[in-house]
Amino acid sequence: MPDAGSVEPPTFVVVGNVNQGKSSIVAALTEDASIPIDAMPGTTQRAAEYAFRSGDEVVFRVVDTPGFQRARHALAWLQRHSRSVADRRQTLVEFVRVHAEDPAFVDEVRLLRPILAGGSHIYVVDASAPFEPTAEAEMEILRWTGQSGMAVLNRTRERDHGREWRPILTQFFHLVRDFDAHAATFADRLDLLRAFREVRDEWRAPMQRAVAVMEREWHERTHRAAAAIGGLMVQALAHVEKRPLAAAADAGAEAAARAALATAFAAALRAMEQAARREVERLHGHRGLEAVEDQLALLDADLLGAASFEAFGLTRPQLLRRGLLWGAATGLAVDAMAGGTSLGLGAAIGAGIGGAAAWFGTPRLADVWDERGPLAKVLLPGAVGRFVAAGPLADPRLPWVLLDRALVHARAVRRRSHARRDALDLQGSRQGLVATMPKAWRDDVDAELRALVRAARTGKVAASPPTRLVERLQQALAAP
Amino acid sequence: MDLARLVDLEVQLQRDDRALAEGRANELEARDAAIGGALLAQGGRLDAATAMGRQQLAAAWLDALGETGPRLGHRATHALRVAAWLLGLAAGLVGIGAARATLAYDGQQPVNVFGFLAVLIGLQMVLLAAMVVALLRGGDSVAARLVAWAARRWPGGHAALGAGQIAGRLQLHAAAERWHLFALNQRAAIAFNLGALATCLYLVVFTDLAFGWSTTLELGAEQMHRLCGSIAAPWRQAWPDAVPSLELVRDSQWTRMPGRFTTGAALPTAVQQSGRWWSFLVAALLVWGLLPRLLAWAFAAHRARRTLANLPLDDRRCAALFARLLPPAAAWSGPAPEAIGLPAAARLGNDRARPVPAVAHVATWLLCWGRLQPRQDAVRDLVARSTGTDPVGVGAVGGSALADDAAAVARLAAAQVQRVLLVLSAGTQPTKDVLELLATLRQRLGPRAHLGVALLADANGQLAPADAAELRPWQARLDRLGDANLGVERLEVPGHA
Ligand SMILES: Nc1nc2c(ncn2[C@@H]2O[C@H](COP(=O)(O)OP(=O)(O)OP(=O)(O)O)[C@@H](O)[C@H]2O)c(=O)[nH]1
Ligand SMILES: [Mg+2]
Repeated sequence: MPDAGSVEPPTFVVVGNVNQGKSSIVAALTEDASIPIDAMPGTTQRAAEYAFRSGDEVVFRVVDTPGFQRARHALAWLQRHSRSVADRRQTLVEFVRVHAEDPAFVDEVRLLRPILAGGSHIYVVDASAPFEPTAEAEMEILRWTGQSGMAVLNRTRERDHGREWRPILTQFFHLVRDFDAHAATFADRLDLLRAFREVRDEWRAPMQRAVAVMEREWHERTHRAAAAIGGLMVQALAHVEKRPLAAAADAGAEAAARAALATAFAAALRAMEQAARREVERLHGHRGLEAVEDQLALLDADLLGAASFEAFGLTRPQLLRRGLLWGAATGLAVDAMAGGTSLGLGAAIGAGIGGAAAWFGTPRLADVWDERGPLAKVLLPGAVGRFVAAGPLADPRLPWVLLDRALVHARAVRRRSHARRDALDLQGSRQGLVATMPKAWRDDVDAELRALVRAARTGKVAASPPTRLVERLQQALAAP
Repeated sequence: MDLARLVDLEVQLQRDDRALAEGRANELEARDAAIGGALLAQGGRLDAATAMGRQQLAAAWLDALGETGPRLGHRATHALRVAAWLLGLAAGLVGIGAARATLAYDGQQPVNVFGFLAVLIGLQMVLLAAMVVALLRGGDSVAARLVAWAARRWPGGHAALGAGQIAGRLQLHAAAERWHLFALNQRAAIAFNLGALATCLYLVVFTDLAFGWSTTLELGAEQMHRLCGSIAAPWRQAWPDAVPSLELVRDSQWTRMPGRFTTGAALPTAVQQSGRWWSFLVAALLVWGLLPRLLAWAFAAHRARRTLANLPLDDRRCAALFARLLPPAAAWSGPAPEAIGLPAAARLGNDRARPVPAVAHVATWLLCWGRLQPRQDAVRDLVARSTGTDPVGVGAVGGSALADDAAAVARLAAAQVQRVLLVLSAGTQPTKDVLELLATLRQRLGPRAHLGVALLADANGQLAPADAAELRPWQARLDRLGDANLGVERLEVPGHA
């Protein structure tokens, strides 16, 4: 037996007609959002090998290839040059050798090479188009490789010709699977890899390992994403915004400074939220993702009414209790507020809203204080001179809003297939993730958030998010 | 992790933070990914899950930064060592002073044993106890408080220094700092005791001393003897001569008003008896002054090292560093996208299809591609209804046999056809195969023949028009041929707008 190091890792060569979604499937599987994908047929021009490594060992490989362009012509050449079924693979090798430099068969040569080098083919069809005789030529050529393979049905449009394709495909492949490149989640990807185990007996063990490694890595990533969101909560709940005042500032100047505080506070929260999002996106290989987001969904005045709390799965009595508990945590009852000294929710989160004015009369969201306030000594011990400052957050709702937004975003990022090239749609996600979690989870998280608020008010901000909070967030992210 | 490393780590983290704030995240990512890769290549086991692993990683990272990394740690620890020596020197001098003051003998009054014990033993014990209590109570970092204080004193520097941030980082290491300060303090105390001890021995050996004791407290000779006995308990067995007897204590009681021994003995007698007292005092200084400080110092130094060695390094900044440094346990790698695909300019992106002209009302030859071959009657009907003119003829192409394509083309060529409509199922791609057929037709029918391409979708068995997005790749591919008499056309399907 050869030693383990000399065995070639399993290699799956993704082939098919042009524009069937081959590259899309490869992008989804390899979590590579940079793979060229386009509606132009022949987008992929060269075979490209993607290796999945654990440490420095290659566990398996996926090869993206240019699509078949002249399958009927290639098959005709093969048939002309083959004398018996026994020499078919040899004839294919001959075809590739003879046409190595021939522009007429450049695509076929490039897609056949990795198969002849020992890979197994994954034949991709777009089942939104009907079966064509050219496809038969393609499958016939694949059969001539003498290699076992598998067929994958993808759909690029609403139409579905899957029923027509299946019985044809099963004549050529002993495995036929559906895989929606655009909607594929982590679970779908694992399912496809599990199917890959069946392609060849000797690849079963390494593919089993690949699945295990991927699951472990996903778990680790979930943890990191949860930590990033936890970090956001720690940071946001402790945030204090400060504006210096001239020693001789009059009431007008002070009012202006207070108004500026609202904008700055909002901007700071948004920046933190954005930073946490970028981190979650980076962790999931979605750099530079554009998001379409309904900022205004959270700016609804409704949010401040009890009704909106149903979005977080909180009932009125629960809310009341929560309000009291949070009041205890922040040293003030939630409804003990003075319009002039509170920052509005809209100001805190919404973009481009006209300051806090719209939210006067809403519960206090953050304290506003000056150098004489008791918080000044605790939170800004180094500050001198006159100033006004706002923070930390006091209203229990805002942390929940922030948390839910972060979780909804993270879930969307985690579910997003790397085959997609459009903007991430966060719209229509008013029904948050928090609401779907069990009550015990919400109570736990609430307690953690309150502890953070308490800590923030004594100036004791943890360097890393509490383990328990991270665990809970991990649970929420891992929830199906 | 030692102190020098920790200082360097903090300095570099601070620099990186500034870089991040300036939007140079990519730079940091590239730098640290390269370092992480190099560490992996050296065969090191990288692990950020344990405090130990994180410390090793941080140390390896600082090493890898090399010249570009900070060089402050060694200088800072060196400065700290010098400061510790200076402090020791000062403490030693204070010890000498304290011993000289308490052992001052002018020939008029004996040295007050009580004063010596109170200052050199009692006061020291109280100070040590206070330090231990402060240590156990924990609390904020002294350095952090210093920074905050300095920021208050010199407000201009506040923003420039990022005093709040620095104080926050210092606070992270408050425990390590506490032990270091405690150890430093004990070192100074040791120097103090050594100074006192040396002075003590010097005075005893080279000068005459008379010892006595007096106090304003209600303390009789028996009680004083008992007190001395308790103090001497540790060395009672080992050094019996250094335990004052009741007799000696009684003989040495001194009343200040008038200045004389209560027994009425003369000072010169006391000088002769001083040997009994000084051994007690030296032993007391050794056992109750020096020894506890030595023990406290050893323990504190050990704890200071341990605290540093166990630093969790799990704060946000460190976590971000390790995330950059450690590639995920498992990952994909592949070629650069530019090397494999069509250049961006040649792609369609989100381009929309141009409006497509309807099939012209002229006599047309119909070619049905592949799948539409068995349905050519339905297609023919559709064309007739769409154009109001019956197709002149129908041919089949795109089937399994290439010979059929050739035959169809030959028929068209023979008939000198000037108008051909190639109809395909929507979803069929403009492959080189199809384009080649169109090229052959052009060649055989001449440059003036009108060649049209139309796509028909199959909606539950009914023919339907293809959607505009499906036409776009066809338009793009045909455009590239630069043939004015070739283009995508639209077949009107009744019931479909
Ligand atoms: N809606 C939808 N569109 C898809 C899906 N898969 C692929 N597409 C689209 O189909 C087109 C072709 O996808 P590619 O992945 O480039 O196809 P390919 O087979 O690699 O194409 P070539 O490289 O040109 O051979 C792109 O516009 C994709 O966005 C899918 O699952 N759903
Ligand atoms: Mg492709």
